[in-house]
Amino acid sequence: MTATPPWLYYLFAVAMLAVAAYGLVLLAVSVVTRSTGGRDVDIAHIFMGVSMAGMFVADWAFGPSATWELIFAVLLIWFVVQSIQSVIAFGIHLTHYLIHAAMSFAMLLMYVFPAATRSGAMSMSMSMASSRSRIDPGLSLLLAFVFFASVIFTLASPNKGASHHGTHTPAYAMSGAAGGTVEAPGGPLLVSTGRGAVRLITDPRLEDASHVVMAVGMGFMLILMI
Amino acid sequence: MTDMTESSSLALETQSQRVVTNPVAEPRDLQRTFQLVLATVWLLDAVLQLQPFMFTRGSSGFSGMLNHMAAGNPGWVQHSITWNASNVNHYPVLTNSTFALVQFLIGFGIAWRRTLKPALALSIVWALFVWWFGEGVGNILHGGATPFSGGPGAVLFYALLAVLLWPSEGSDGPFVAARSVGVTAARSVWAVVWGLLAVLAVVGSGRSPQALHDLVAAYTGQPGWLARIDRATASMFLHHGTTVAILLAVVCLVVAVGAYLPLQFNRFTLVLGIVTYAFIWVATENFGGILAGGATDPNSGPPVIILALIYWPLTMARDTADGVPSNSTSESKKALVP
Repeated sequence: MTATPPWLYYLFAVAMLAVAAYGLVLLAVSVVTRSTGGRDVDIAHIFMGVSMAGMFVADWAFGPSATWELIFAVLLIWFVVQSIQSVIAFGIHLTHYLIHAAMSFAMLLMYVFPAATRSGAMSMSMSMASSRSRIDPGLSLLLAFVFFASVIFTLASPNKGASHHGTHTPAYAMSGAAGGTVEAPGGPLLVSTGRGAVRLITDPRLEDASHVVMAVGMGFMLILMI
Repeated sequence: MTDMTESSSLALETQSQRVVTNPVAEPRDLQRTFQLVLATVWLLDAVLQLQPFMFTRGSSGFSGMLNHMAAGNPGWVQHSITWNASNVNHYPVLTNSTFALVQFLIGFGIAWRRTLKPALALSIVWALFVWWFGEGVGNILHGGATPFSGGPGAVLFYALLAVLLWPSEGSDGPFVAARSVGVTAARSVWAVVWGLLAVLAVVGSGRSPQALHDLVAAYTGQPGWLARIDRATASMFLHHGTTVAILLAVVCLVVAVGAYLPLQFNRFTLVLGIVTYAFIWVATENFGGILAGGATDPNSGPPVIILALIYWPLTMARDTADGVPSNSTSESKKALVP
């Protein structure tokens, strides 16, 4: 008898929605303050959070798979291009765009190769397409391990907010020494020195936390799909 | 992974809006890097603990797996393992959630510097607990602890890594493992570990002609490409189990003495150990069975490979280039110049 506690999936689903909501708030703040740095990550987190919530709790899923596949394909291309541009601009390095590209790729795989997980936690929209073959377990494990490594190295990184903006962002911007927005690669960057709530919302540690939650949730889903 | 190639200082070119990294980069703290790799493995284990199979009662669930580990052990060991399995069977959600939580705490605790030491200490205690109750004392007591199947217990290597990666001041030379316990002790540990693996390869059931073939042939539910590797391995091992076991023992002995050999031979033996365990991890451990959907950890392959990497000799050139003040002992300096 399989007795997976339902609260576990609800817990992950709520966490995913929280990340999506946080991404939405960050996006709204960046629009208000006319800063563009990190918007792509915010948008990605919104889509990933909503779709992942639907994977953990089937009742919360909506939209056809094809639409989600298109969204994540576009995000994948965007982050790959950004990675290439970052390498061209700064030389060979492990840019933060790569992890977002990997996450977009994982989301795409989960929709292109859906499989009814042993948890039964997959969304209806995905299970309807179950006639297609499933994602290779080796690839699932590899991606999950990469995401877990990202979690650990993000938590340990002295460059807070790097999961959102990368380490090529000016150091003083990350530490909040400057106010408002600063010019940075990829557009003006929202700096965590606004007043009250804005400062709290744009705290780089919070941005890292949202990445950590998303990566753990996605890694867990990939393990479930093995 | 957020830019692991971090730079210590950054400068903004306001006109071109480009950021230039400082050419004098801070040297990477390799001990810290390997601590984080260890934390990543713990995090993987924590998530594996949340698989539906782990919450399942009965013989096909986690408690059944634990019960299976009791077989063949002395009575008092069996009783302790079956007692734990019984608790897991009666309270699968509570026990399994607790097990997962402990592993999450270890992984995240290692990642956060302030909780590094408590997390490593907890990992040692937890590893010993799992070794006893989850791995049946590594099958050592009934002669089934062949390195080909993870003997003497994958989780023991986690504990060993926690000890060898215990945070300490100083440089990473002559190799990372020496930083916490010293060169002499680290080399002794290395020799003992690989010596033990050599012994385990040729004692007990693992050395019988058919044992390795049966071990590999028993795997089910693997993806197609891994099943093909299994068939090839099983065919290769058919009736040659004893020969392969003796060969592994010889390799382990060579690797064991490698730590005392000159630099180039030392590196060769480390590569030999890494390649051997990469082969074992894929061909006979099947990635710990994770790909078949019923594993609690990736088995001994990854931790042993990490162990080998923290014994990789670092050249004097690295210390100089990194600008690390040399505080190595005369003993460690000797090791750098074979």
